[in-house]
Amino acid sequence: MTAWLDTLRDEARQAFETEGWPTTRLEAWRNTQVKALTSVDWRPADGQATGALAARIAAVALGDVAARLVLVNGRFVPELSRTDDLPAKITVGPLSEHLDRVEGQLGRVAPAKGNPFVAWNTGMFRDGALVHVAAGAVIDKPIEIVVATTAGQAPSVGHARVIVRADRHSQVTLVERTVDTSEGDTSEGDTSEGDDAAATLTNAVTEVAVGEDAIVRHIKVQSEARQACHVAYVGASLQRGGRFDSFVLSNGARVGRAEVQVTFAGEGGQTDLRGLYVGQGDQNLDHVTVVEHAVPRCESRETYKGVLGDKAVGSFQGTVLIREGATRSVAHQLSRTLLLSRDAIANTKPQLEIDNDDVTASHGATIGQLAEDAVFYLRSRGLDERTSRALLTYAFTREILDAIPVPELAEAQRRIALARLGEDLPHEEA
Amino acid sequence: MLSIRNLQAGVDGKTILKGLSLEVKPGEVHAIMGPNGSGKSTLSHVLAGRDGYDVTGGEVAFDGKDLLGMDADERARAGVFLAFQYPVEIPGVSNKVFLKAAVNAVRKHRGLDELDAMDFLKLFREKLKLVGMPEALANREVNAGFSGGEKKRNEILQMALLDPKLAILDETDSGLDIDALRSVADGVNALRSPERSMLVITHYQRLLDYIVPDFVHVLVDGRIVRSGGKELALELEERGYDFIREQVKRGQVGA
Repeated sequence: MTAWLDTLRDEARQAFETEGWPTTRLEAWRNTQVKALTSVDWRPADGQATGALAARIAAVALGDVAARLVLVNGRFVPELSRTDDLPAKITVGPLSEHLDRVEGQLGRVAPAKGNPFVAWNTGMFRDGALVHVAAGAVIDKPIEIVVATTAGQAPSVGHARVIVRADRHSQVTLVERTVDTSEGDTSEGDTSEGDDAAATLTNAVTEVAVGEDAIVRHIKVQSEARQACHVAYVGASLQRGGRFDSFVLSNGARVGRAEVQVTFAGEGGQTDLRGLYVGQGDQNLDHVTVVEHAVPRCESRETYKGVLGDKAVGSFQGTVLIREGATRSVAHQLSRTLLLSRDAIANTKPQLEIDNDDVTASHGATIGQLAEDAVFYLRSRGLDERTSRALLTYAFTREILDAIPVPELAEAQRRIALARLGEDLPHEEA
Repeated sequence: MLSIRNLQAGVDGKTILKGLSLEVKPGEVHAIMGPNGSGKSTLSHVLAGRDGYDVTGGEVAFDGKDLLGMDADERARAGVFLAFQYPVEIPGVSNKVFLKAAVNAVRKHRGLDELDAMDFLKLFREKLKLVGMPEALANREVNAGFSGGEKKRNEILQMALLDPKLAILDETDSGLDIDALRSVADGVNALRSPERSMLVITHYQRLLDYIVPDFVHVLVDGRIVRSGGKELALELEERGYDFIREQVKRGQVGA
């Protein structure tokens, strides 16, 4: 590799040595079951891309994409990827072959310092995926990035690194998804439980550089096997007039965490962050957002929703920093959590730090159960109680699912939500 | 059709209905009038099976069956329909999907084939016409962003689709201007039939100008204190509920 990268990796390893694993004493990690992540002797995942894995990927992959990039244990797998039908002015491929394009971005949008899992990734990643959209290029179809970590005899960690560079006036939509690599016949909506295979941890870092007036949409789908662990960091840096829209859809993993960090580096930027997490069993699904308004006239909007049943624990922690010079900032944040059982636990913490007077900001957080008057309304029309509750739960998730800008994915996610709630749930016919 | 005997019910330990009796035969329209706090809403909720009410005495037979032993959804499938005073907004649920599911739940219970999308659409359009509701409105999310009049019309649309044996209209006139009231009443009147009974619960006589009842009952303090024909409503309008209360005190009427 190259000298700048060697330096970067050394620094990351040093940062990791110095800082160590995060603990729940750190505010940003308060709600993550850190011990489940840090008490394990993780070995680098080294499984191969088998036919079974290829079938798994094919089962969840989108049909209509501009390109598909597959990372297995952090390594780009050309045989599983699809890059032969690329539109003009876009470059995709293994990160290792395109390092010249990412100097100054790699490790900067997602800094190692203060982020131990990012540091670990930066110190250890073996390859990754690159998406570079040249100035003015508008890519209509989504680019799909599939991240898989294979299980082995010992607990296995895969470090996935994704770099997205959207130059000025370009537009691109990315779907970054995990794939359930556990043994047995499971589909995306039905993640298996009680599998004997050793644990896996996917440690994913995605760095997005949004150029002037460029638009990047990033949809992260976390549907790992139920015994897997998943830690993700999505960082975006926006130049003047840039726009970054993010979706985080989490329903897999035993312990899952996703942090989205957006920094406005130029005036007039916009970001819209949405999330939906659906936890069952003993899942722990943790979501963190940090939006930094460092310059004037930027807008951020956040809507996260959680549905928690059984003994699931879910959290949303949203920090908005509005610096002294960031006048005329607009920042709105909303977190809503639906508890379906008495044993489920929700934590939400909005945190707005505003250092100037010329801003419009709001935040709201609700944690509640299904409205009983709505349940009664549906039942009074003849729907049984289970169907009524499931229908209302589905309705709660629709606001996020319907906003997914890739129709095929939105439809697939709605189908998964319906299937989880009951096969016979009334719904629109396609 | 509906036989209520000495019904006593309340909420949070407070007794609201204090021995209410009423007989409703097929095809009859009964109005229940009463001042605020007399127990009108409690009666409609207890009949529809809403949670949170304690029935402490009496019995209710519907079609010869014990109504109070049935869950809310069982009652609906058996043919009891409550038109809500405050219909609930349910964003995220398509009105049409909801209504199709409800229609099929009721049909299944009656031993009829479930309607497919095409057959339902036909029925849906027919009933829309009957209640004078634009299809675009009916296709939206359940009551979400509907005006007061639109919500009430949606209730009547549901009643038309579910074809109940007993319809309870709970303060259907509340919040409606005269045009909306007239149009909702037209929908209700179109649904009157020799097989369908109705309980029209209202504070004001105004609604009964449009939905003309066969019988009028006055509910005061949890009991029916006077019953009569439709002219009783006019008398109440003229003389007010205080007049009845006075009569109750003097022992001239009442339970």
